[in-house]
Amino acid sequence: MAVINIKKKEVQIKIVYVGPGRGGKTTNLEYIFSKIRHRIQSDLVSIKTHGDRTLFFDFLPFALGEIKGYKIKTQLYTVPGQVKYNATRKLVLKGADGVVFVADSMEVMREKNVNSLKNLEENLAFHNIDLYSFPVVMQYNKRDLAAGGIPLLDIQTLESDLNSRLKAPSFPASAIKGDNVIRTVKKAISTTILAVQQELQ
Amino acid sequence: MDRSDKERLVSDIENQLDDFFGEDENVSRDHDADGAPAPNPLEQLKSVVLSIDWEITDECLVELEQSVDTLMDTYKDDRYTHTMLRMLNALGKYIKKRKAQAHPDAIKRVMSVFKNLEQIVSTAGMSEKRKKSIVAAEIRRFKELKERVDSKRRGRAAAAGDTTAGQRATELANEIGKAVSAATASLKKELKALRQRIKAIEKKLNI
Repeated sequence: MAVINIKKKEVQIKIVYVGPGRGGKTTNLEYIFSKIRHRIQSDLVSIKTHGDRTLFFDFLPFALGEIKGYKIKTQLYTVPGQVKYNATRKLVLKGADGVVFVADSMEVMREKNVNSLKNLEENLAFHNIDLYSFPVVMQYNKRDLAAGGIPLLDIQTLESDLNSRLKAPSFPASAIKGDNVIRTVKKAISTTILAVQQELQ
Repeated sequence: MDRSDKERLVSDIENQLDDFFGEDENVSRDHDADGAPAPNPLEQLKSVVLSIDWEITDECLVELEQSVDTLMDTYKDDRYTHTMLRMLNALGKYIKKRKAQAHPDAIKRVMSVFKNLEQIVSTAGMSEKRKKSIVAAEIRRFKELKERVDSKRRGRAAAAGDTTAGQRATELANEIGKAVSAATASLKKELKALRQRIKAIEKKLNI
């Protein structure tokens, strides 16, 4: 749930990037950071402990500016994609106001995408959130790999596997090249702010 | 909220987002002014390093070794880049050998060396002095790690009374030591060359 400070006229929203391991979540945040670093005072924070591997995530906070007289503060997080880090995923999803699901377009990742989405549904349910009435943006990442001859799932298949019920806004993207990364985050922020606004009504 | 209120809010949000992020979302960061992709020589290595950052697997470490080998050949005439690559190579071999028992700081070193390597390669017009200072700082941290690895292994071997483990630790320390010595020798060589160049310039200018 967004943190709203009426006195300071501030709204803080939390958007979490989720998806299978090595799907490009961190690369998304790194690209976003590279585009806005000159405008923000904060840094991209990576919390990674390799010794015990208990906590892994990236965190990018920034102030977006004012909308309707309210200062909007945005926090972008990633979660570890690997199956074994579910406790961390649950923890990072706590208090999320919206999610970006970064699907890996590679053919070999089809099952992992589906499992990861199912895991997201379960983890949100743990926090009493219904995925299907929650702000979600879908990103089909790694589209650039087609040029290297790597077999990719076509967009229709990805939509059918992951978005047929959700019907979330979706973008084909290449996080490593920056294609559609900003469109994805813009959509995630606007969808999330609208949902927060509606919830407050 | 009625429909027109909602539309106004959506419009306000979109305007704010456009102002904040700009409208260049379809422009790839790897594209040059003509729109043609600019080749990033470290792209493959970056991908491998990011993979290792998430999860250390044999596959990633083999890829790291291969990527570094290729780049070492490409940058054989660039002393600073070559030194950084040699450090990555030594770290990769150490992690591959020790796997989960590798010192946790070894991964931090991989990330740091790569980050600075990327800075050296991608910053056009970086001064020699700056490059040298970056490489020297990395070598210093590399040596510190080597000392920590060395003392940890020796301590463990002594505690267990295991001379074989001690030998293994010594071998490993020697390996890292060799890499550091090679990097230091390269820097000394380069320093000597720089001094000679400065002398030649001074001579020319009659200073």
